[in-house]
Amino acid sequence: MGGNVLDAGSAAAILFGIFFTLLVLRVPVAVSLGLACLPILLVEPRLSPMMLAQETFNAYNSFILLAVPFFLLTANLMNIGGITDRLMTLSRSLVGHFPGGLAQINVVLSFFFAGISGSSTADAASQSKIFIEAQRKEGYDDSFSVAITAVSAVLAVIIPPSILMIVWGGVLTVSIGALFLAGVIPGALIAIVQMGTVHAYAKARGYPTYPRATLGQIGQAFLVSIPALLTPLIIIGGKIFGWFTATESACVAVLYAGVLSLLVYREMDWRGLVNALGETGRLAGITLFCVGTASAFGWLLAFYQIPEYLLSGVQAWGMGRIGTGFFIAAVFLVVGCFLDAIPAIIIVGAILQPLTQAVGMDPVHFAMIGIVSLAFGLVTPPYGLCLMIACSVAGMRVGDALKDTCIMLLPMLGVLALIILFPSIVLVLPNLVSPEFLR
Amino acid sequence: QGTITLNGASQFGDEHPYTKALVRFEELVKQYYGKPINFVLHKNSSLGLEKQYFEYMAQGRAVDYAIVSPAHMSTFSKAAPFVDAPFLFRDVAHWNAVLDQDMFKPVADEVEKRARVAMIGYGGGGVRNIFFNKRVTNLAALKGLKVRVQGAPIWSRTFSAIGMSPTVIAYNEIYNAIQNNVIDGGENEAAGVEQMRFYEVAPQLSMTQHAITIRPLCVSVQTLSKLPNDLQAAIRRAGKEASAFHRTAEAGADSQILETLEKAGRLHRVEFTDRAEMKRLVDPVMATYAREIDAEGILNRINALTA
Amino acid sequence: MPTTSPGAPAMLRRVNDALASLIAFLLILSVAILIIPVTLQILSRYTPLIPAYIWTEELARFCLVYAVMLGAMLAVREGTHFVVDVFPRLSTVGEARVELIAGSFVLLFAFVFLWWGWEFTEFAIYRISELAELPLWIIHAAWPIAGAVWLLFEAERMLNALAVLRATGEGRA
Ligand code: NA
Ligand code: NA
Repeated sequence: MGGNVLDAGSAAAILFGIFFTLLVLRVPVAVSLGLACLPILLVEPRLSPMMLAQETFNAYNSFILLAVPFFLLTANLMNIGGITDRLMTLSRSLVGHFPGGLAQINVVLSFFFAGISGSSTADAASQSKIFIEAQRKEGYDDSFSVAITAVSAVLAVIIPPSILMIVWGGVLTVSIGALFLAGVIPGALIAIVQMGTVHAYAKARGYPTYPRATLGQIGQAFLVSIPALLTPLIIIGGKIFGWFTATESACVAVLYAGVLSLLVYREMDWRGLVNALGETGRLAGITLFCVGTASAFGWLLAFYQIPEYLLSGVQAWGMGRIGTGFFIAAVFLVVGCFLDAIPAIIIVGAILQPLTQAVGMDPVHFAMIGIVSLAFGLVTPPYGLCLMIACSVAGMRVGDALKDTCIMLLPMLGVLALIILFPSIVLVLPNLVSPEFLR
Repeated sequence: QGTITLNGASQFGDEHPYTKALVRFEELVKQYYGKPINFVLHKNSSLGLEKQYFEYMAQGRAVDYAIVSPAHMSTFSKAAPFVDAPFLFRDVAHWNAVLDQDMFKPVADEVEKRARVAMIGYGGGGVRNIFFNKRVTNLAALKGLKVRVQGAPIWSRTFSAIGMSPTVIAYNEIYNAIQNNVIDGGENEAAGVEQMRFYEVAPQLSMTQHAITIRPLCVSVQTLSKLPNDLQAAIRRAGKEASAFHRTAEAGADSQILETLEKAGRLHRVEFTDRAEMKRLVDPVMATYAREIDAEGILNRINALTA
Repeated sequence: MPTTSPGAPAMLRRVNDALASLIAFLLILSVAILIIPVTLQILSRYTPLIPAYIWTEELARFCLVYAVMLGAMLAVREGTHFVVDVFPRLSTVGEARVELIAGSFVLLFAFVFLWWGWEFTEFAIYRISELAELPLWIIHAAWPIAGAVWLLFEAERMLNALAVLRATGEGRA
């Protein structure tokens, strides 16, 4: 019970030093995060490696995290039950004739998917399987295919429902209903700039195009997709009318996808269901296991008060509202490279909150800057889950997809800047639909 | 050996009575010990939640002292939540008398034996009321309303007994659950209502006064036993006094928070007319519960106390 | 390129195969069960036919804990834990070397989970969960089990890699 053996600086050096070294040696990310904690847990007399078990347990033993496997299961049920096929046909009839047709469909399908699922890893996992091989066959470069699949997957946590909004709303007491509504316009803007990016790439590299669909085809694709397109209304409606809590809404998404697959589109069989459950468990295991060791890592950062140490004195800079907005975005973008978004919200969100209150920033605005920045962190290495998933499906190295990913991130960062400069982009919908959510 | 450092943890920021009590504890230990000693207080939930602080203290790791709700000790001792059970006290005077006579000593001893965590003082004193988004003044109006209660069985049993429909929802989902009408209300003391901004979604506070909190100031026994004797004595003395300070601070804060919120038009106190009847409905449930956890003797002594 | 020589002993392979099938089955089960308590929790608010059990929240959380741990166990066998790849593409021998280096860290990690997970389980031995009053050690036991399972799975992978190195070494000699 003496003081800490290590000071904040050396603890940070050990944590990050070991983490990066092990990553280079191709040790799994989750293991690297855990082992980075080990020397500190051994050296500090007041800590013990048992805390690795304790902290991972604390992370998994959370009702809010249940939304993750539920959203993954929803995605798997959509795939085997024919919902994804219908949405794919609809996307194709809408944007297939744009330059880079298949990649445009990739973005638009992610947009639709985002309205049903709140997990970007689910989107990355299911769409990597659909698009990467298909795009390869049509002559798209692999790094482009991986990059566009990964960056479009981040839409899932920006457009409601969203696991990050559920966690943010719970941890920092912000109305999840307001966050859900606030995410719609930024999500749409990001989808649009991504389509623009695809357009530019397709023109430069001569990617193929599909013939334009007739109005009849569009109408038909739309009609069969209606039950699937109703899902967001049920989920958001359910939240607004109070049928279920945010976490429960993810379970409702599972049930609804199951009903559509079994009774409406009738493409799900017993085998498919068992496979869907197995796939869900596997991916939930891999991604949430990372969340656990990342939480232990984050817990040690908090124990040495490293974030406070780094952020001390920021208040004295006297930034205005816009300056603070950019500062928050920068912090979350950097943090998103190393930490999972969920522990990042818990550890960093609470530290930044007073900063935003001091400059009178709307809590919903603050939340959206944080969520969008952390969503971008899903594709920034070393810890970029969506990029890693897409790479592993494509059998590609993360490093090889990096350049295209960075190029695609530039216009998305532009949207983030717009959100910071013009709060009304996020606030207008919550104000319009349910002003009582904002106070 | 260098200067001794003790690590504390709080879920809350500087303004919260718990944090203030822990800071007072720090000052008092320094004063009574008289030799150099360091304190690090981890605020704003940076080391997790109270439940985890308690587990760390039980392991003798990371956290040396913290204020923890007895409900979080239930996995170690089934009797612990009894200390903080609803409908136990008639009023604040009764509550004070029970604490002055140290009536929970058997429970504290059991917790210390099983979890190796010592309760060195009893803070708390927050009066818990139920917040709704509509006015509820009597038992008839309470009937069938969905209210979020703490995750210990005694809470759902007592709330069922008064005709409500208790629901278990994670603490950080309450705000949104009320806003969306998933539940009709929740229950908490003033500091909790303010901290979690429950008044924004449920501004009608029915003054049911169904519970008065007890929040022990806890110290890890493993830490304590390794300290020099004079420091141990200083800690025990400071713990008692910091908890007494906590009780005054919280009692004062309680009414002050409610008054401030009411003046700002954010919250309305609603008189509840059936408190005696409510307690009568719950008494048999409490008696059964006390029998189950071998706390009948304590319950009888508490009930017999005229203060 | 030599044909892949049998690396790990046949016995270890058989044990691991059986273990992996069992874990996969339990994983599917725990994900399927996950839906039930949450659905009950939602429905109980709308129909008196379903009582509002207070243990639904806790049961769902414990299923999640097991689902995550089982999924993480299986991922070592299937080699699907995320890695950040910065090496240039490697030859078979290079792959085997990296597997041995990275694998020894995984072994260390598995040992930490086994050793201190055991302590973690002991710490829960007389404790019961808050709502359903289940023995808590059953949940904590997932940690040492994961450690033991990883040791077996990773040992097989490393023995296979070692065999590749040995075979090519002989080929050159
Ligand atoms: Na996509
Ligand atoms: Na979404």
